[in-house]
Amino acid sequence: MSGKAIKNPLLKRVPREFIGDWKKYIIVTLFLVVMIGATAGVYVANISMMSAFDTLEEDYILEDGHFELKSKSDEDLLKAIATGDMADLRTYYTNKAYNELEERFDEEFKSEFDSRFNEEFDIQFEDEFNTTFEKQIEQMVRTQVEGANLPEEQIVLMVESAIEEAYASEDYEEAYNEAYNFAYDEAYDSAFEEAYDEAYAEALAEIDSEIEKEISDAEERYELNSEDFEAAPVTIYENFFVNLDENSESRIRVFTYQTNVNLPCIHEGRLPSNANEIAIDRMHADNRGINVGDIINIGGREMEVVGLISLANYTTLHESNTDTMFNALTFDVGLVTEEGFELLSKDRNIHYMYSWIYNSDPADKISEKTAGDNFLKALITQVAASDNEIEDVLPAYVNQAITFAPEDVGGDMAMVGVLLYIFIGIIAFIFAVTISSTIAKEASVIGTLRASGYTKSELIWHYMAMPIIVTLLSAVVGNVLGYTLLKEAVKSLYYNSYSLPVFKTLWSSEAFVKTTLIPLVLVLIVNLVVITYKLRLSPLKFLRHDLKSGKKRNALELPNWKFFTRFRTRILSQNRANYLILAFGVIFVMFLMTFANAMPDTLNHIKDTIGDTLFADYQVILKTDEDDDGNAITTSNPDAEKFSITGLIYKGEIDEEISVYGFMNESKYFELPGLGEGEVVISDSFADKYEIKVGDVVVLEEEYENVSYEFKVAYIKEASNIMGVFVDIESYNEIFDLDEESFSGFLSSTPVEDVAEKYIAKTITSEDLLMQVNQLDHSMGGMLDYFGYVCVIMAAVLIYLLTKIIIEKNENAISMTKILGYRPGEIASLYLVSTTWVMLVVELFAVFAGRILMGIVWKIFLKSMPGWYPFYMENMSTVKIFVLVFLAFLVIMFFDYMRIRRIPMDEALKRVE
Amino acid sequence: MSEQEHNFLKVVDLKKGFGSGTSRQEVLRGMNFAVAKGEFCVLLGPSGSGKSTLLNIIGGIDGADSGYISIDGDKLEEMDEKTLTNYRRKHLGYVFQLYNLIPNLTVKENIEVGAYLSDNPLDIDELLATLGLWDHRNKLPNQLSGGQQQRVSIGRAIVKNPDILLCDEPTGALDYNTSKEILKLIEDVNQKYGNTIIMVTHNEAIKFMADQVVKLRDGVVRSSVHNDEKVSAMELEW
Repeated sequence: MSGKAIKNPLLKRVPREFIGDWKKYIIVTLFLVVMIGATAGVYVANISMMSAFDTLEEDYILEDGHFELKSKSDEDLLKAIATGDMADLRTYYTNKAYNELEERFDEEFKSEFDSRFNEEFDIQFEDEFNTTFEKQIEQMVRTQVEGANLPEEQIVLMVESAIEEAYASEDYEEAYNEAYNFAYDEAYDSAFEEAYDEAYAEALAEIDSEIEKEISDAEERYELNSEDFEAAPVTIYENFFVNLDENSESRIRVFTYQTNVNLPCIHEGRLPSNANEIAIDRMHADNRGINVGDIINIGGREMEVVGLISLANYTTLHESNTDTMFNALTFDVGLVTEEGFELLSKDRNIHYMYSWIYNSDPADKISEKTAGDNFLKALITQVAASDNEIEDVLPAYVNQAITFAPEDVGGDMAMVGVLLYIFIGIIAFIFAVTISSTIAKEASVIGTLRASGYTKSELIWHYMAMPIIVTLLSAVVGNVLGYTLLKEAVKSLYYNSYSLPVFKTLWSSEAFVKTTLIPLVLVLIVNLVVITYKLRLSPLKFLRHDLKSGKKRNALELPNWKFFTRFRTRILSQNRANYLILAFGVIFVMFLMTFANAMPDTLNHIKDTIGDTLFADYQVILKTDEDDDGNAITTSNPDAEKFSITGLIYKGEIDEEISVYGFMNESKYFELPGLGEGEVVISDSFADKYEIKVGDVVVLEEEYENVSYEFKVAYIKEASNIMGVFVDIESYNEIFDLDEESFSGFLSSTPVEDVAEKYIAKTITSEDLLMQVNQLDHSMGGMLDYFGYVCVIMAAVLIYLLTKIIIEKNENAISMTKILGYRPGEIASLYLVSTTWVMLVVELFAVFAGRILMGIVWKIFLKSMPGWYPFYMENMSTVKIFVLVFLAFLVIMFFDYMRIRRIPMDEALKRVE
Repeated sequence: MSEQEHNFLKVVDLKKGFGSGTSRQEVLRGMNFAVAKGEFCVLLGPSGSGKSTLLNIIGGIDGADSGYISIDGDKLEEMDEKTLTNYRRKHLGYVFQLYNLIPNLTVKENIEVGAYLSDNPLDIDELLATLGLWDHRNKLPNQLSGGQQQRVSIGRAIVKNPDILLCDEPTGALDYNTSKEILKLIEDVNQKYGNTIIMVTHNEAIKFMADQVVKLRDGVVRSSVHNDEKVSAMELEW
């Protein structure tokens, strides 16, 4: 008797199993390693990056928000804003209005009173004076002829002639003037006093009611009366900038270097130290091939690039917060010295931007939002109570240039996580079917072991060992790769798109859980369920190879097909579980391939068609339609045509900015159909995105005012992916209560060069509309190609693993058919043709289902961001996906054919034992 | 020998049928016999006589419809699945006509598969020598002949030193000489380790080497005879 405790000898099978089927396990392991490694890489890079984002606030003093004023603010206003308190608008407005009234009332009242009084008095006085005058003459004549006994008719004649004479005499005028002056002064004084008081009271009442209305509007819109309001005191920093051309191919936003807010992270070189030096964004420089030491043209001045930086408030280069996508290709930010800024901004439009930082840091997102809302109230009221105007307000939490990268990084983690779990799920099922077929093969051994006293759970864990070990091994190797090589790859991918600060790699328990624990648990659960189910039968059933529980089903009755067809149908039926997993996997892979192809197809489609649908190559938007002398701005360019444009907000899933255009009647650039009162044309992109139909009424709102407009949609027109509403310029001016001659700028097919730069707010060209498309293409294009090929490899691996199981399961039968005299070609046609049927059906289904599904996902995805690009996929891409996957299938079929050829004839004999 | 040792294995009024309705077939129709501890008992009968079914019920891998089997006083019917597994683990060894070895374990490891189940297994090296497998101990099953594979299978069954060794047609797939060798081995094991052995066979010749021969036909015991003058396996002829 031996006293030694014996280790479970079944354990020894595990490494032999691995070695015995090394090709399969290596492929699965490699596959898992790559998937887990890539995911771990994404997680580690992202989590490290997220923590770098968190340091922006402290290390780089990221602003909590910024606002831009129309003119430079005075100290008092900045101090008032910094308190975070709301201004007393009522007192301000009342005082201001009363003062204004005081200033102008006397004069205005007097001139109006005088003109009215004079007119009325003159008429009244003349009547009264003449009557009295005539009466006095008559009296005089009658007194003179008294006693002469003249007939009455003669007296009347004499009176009339005397009156006529008197009117003509100088005395009349003298008397008139004397009486007039006397009467006038007396009447004027009493009437003036009476009317003045009345009019003054009336004017005050009118002012009060106007102020009341204005304030109640403002209170309603900005919830100024909210009881929750709590002053959010801030510190304000100047952060002025100018927008300039860079090398005539990009635009650059130039700031002066600030030491107290939005600090730069220096990647290379240094900060500028004299007026001719500039530090620019690293990402943009990379895209444009600009290096430290290069001379670039900034707004007409030659400047030396001395540093490549990233700014804390521009982790993505969003030129405008309404842009769908950042633009590191044609937009740049830069820092210069104060002297440099002075030179660059001379005679140019300076943007008076001020950054704010809360004096007490908001604890979380919710309190940040509350602080933002409160600050906005303070800002609006304080600026309203000054002579300035707000041009823009942007709390950091809605500033895309600050939030886009962390949100995108977070979104990527979620997406990669989901992809990994789907893959692990597929692999888990592949393990499960492999083990199911091993269990079937080893039924007698299992029966013997169970009969000898091995417990069910001992066997379950024995069969579970392989998937667990492979997953664990892959997770370990994958994580090591993730933390080293792949992290660097992911990092460079992000650094290719974003202007990120330098980051340190952090160990992340989250990455470990998501890339090791969860895959392991997934594999464990799927296999535990399947293996437990398979091993539920009694030892006797295993000994008898009777592995079907319940009633034995009769063989499927088949029509009187050819023998080969019936044989293949039986193979299909026997392997339906494998085929089901194959179908699921192939559909999933082809869906991913659809994405990889649809994205560039859509971008290319936009690029190709934008020229056809863009209504003018140049849209010059002016800051004002009058020059400094008050004359309308004009151009001599014969192609140019006036138009108007403004941005309103459509409240959909997000607040979407819609451009409202006003075109000239019979415009060269946009053919407007006849529109009735309140009717508009809208762009197809706007209509598609929000499912607006002809006849619907759309409501658009002003962003910072409590005003909304209703438009009835009369037509929907194609318009180069613009989210737009189109009307004629007259209606436009009427809708927005503008002067008849008012306009926003010029549309032109050629550049408009004779308008002074200082009047131009911006010029939109097809390049600008393509900016987002180009950026998306640049960020993802190359990666998607690789992704597509990785998908093909994935498909091949799936097909390889699953067809291998089918062939192994049938080795005995294949061997037997060989003994009977079937040729390998015939056998292959039996076993491989049925798989080919399945593949064809699955592929056909998958390409179309993938396309439809992608269309839906695309819509959902784009609805959550501004702008709209309709889903587009070339038919050739569909064919390409189909052909690529099928080619991969054929390659695997070749290997399978070789495998069938290699099955020896004695296999069948051996099995009989 | 005490009464309990005499009735070490007791089969009492055992009935078992398969199928239902018109297709129902009664395989065991009320079987009764007892085997004493350490005896070599041969269950003899033609195909369909119910001998394999009986062996499976004794082995606890199949259940009876009525009647019972008791081993050393414990009734199998009263055991739940877990106790039955434990019973097989501790007290039973199984040898099948097909050897059912694990193909990717060596000879020695296949025997360890049995040893692992026992708290007090036999010495494996010694057993390998006894089984004549010492030189083959590192070979895989597919490198062995049928007889050698059956030896491994016997080794796997007896290494845990079971109280009862159940053998289902252990020589069914072997040639004459190899069969005799295997029978000799079982005989040696019985003598050396004193296990109770129940062997199912349709080979009439084997009855001469048994202590007790139970003849079965149509699901009942036709005769149960004790063999006073048994012969050695090597002297058997058929």
